[in-house]
Amino acid sequence: MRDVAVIGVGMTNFGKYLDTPIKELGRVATWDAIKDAQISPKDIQIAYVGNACLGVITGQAMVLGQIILKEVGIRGIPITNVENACASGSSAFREAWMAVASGMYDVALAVGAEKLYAGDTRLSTKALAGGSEIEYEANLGLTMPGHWALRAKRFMEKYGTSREQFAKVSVKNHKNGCLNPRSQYKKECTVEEVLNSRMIADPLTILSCNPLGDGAAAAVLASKEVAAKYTTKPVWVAASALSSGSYDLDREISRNQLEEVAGRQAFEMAGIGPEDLDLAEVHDCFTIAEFMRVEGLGLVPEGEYGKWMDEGWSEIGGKLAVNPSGGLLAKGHPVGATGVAQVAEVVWHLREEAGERQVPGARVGLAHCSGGGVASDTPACCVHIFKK
Amino acid sequence: MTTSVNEEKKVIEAIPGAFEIEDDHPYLVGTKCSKCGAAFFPPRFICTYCLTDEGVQKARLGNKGTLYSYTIINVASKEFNPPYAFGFVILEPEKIRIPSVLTGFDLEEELKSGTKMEMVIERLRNDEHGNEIVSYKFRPVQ
Repeated sequence: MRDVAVIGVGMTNFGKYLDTPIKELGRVATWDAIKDAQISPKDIQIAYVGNACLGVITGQAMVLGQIILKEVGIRGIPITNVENACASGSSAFREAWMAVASGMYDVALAVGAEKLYAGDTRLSTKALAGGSEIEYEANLGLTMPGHWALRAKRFMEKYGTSREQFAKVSVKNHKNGCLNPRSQYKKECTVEEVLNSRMIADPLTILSCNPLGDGAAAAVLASKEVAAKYTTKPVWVAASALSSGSYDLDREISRNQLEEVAGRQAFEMAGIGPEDLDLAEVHDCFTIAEFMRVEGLGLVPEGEYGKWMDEGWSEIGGKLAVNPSGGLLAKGHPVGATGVAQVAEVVWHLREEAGERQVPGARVGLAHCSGGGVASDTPACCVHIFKK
Repeated sequence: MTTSVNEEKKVIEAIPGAFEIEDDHPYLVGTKCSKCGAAFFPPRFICTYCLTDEGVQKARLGNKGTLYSYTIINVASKEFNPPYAFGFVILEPEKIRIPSVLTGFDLEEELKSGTKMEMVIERLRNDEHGNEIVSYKFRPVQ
């Protein structure tokens, strides 16, 4: 397997773009990544484009990648559309990495794009419910926040975690979002505000849940030889792992086995341990999700993240900065775009281009995306580790 | 005075075939593997553990269990009429987790995990044509 570098990244601001076509969001992010890599569109040899919800929301399924990429003059090459719930973007990135690592291609492009705002929340909700096994879950009244509330209740019972400790995830990520010009929300909140905001599914209030969002992100990947021609600041893909659920009907739901598997595989491949990380972009779709994932991936010992929150160890400048971008809770979560946006965030930190939210001296970063809820398990988990 | 046409409203099962009723007692219907004894709901026709379809058959499962985790869902589509309680019940003796709306208790009341639960068949919601959608639900044993 060959070494692969990220040589360029791009991202739109995340937010609400009711009147902007998705191809424009995709075009802006892709063009930014191409300019950042200082290459020409004709140098891209293969592309993967992640999206999860557009088919349900607008009917425009199947060929989004080709629609976006024709706007930047990328045509003729193999383009594959990738759908994997919230891990759609990170799965597209992983495909691009495999294409270069395998030796088949020298330059690959990964794009993630999504428009969740439809002017009709029911339509957005219907599209998002596609991340579950609709027949047996959504059909009976189990919502996505409901899935996470059930895990949160179990987690609290098992580890004694308090609602205040969960709320601190939202407080931290909103604080980080204020430092990120591309963040959907740039407003701090307090533990009390999180706890007293509208209850969605006990114990998760609206400030414990990620918002709807629109946006796009892109990354250009290249082999070692080619990367050297274009950049003096390559960021290396040290590991890539993708796992799916076990769906065992007797499993413990406060811990996700697939995250343990993907975390272990990624650290083995990178030849490093969690203690070597300077930052982690972790899929915090709900406050409880950040808890389950940092522990599940092995970044923090089981049952200890509550203490980390109390001590501020996952803030920028702490032991391990978790979601310095603001995470899904503040930066936003245009589902298919999120995984690639996480890659962009890690790349900016490793190049020391992250501005006010820069994790000082960052050399190693992790990006994690998990998606969906099936048989009370998670069907997709994607982890990447990057090194300077 | 005009008389409105009396449209026949249907009763539809939310998950067709999910339950059977005998002598007023409802039972979940899933599958069982005769080799390892595993039970599945929703039914799986290839045993996830033995990786075989031999001896995997449709089977009547139980109608009692214990509460594993639950939440009050306050925001959901209108037809579900929130707030309502939703939880996971561990079916006994199969020891498998069943997702279910919980009923038969005051939502202000706190149910402890481990509470003994029993299955009932109730209206879940109405669809857009006014048909009644029914499902299994679980309630604290009365």
